[in-house]
Amino acid sequence: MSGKKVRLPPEVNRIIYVRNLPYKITAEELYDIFGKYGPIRQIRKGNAPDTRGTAFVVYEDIYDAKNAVDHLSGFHVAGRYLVVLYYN
Amino acid sequence: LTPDQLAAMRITREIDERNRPMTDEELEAIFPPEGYELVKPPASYQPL
Repeated sequence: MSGKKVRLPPEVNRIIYVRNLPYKITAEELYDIFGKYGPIRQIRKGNAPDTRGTAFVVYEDIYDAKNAVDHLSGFHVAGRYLVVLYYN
Repeated sequence: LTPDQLAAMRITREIDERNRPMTDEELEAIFPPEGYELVKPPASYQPL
């Protein structure tokens, strides 16, 4: 993904916060869904009662994160619609 | 330097600043201390 010379709004950053994930989603599925948009620096999955079904996905490049958020909002996974937001 | 080259340079500098590689410690500090676990990348994962 080449970096485009377009101005990015302030809230755009490389860490995205995802809600509404199926509880038993696997590493393969997470990397499959989010890896399509660019190299992933790190993924953290919620494992406590109040954080289950949520995750943080850190991209290496800010444009990839923006691409993921633009495309993944409302993505349908196992009967659920993903909520994808920038984390700041 | 034409004005739009100047503007492009400023955007690049700003983006590079927001895109500079983050150390693990910086990442560690951003996330909530508990309730989350690191997901190990699957063996088949090759970054694009």
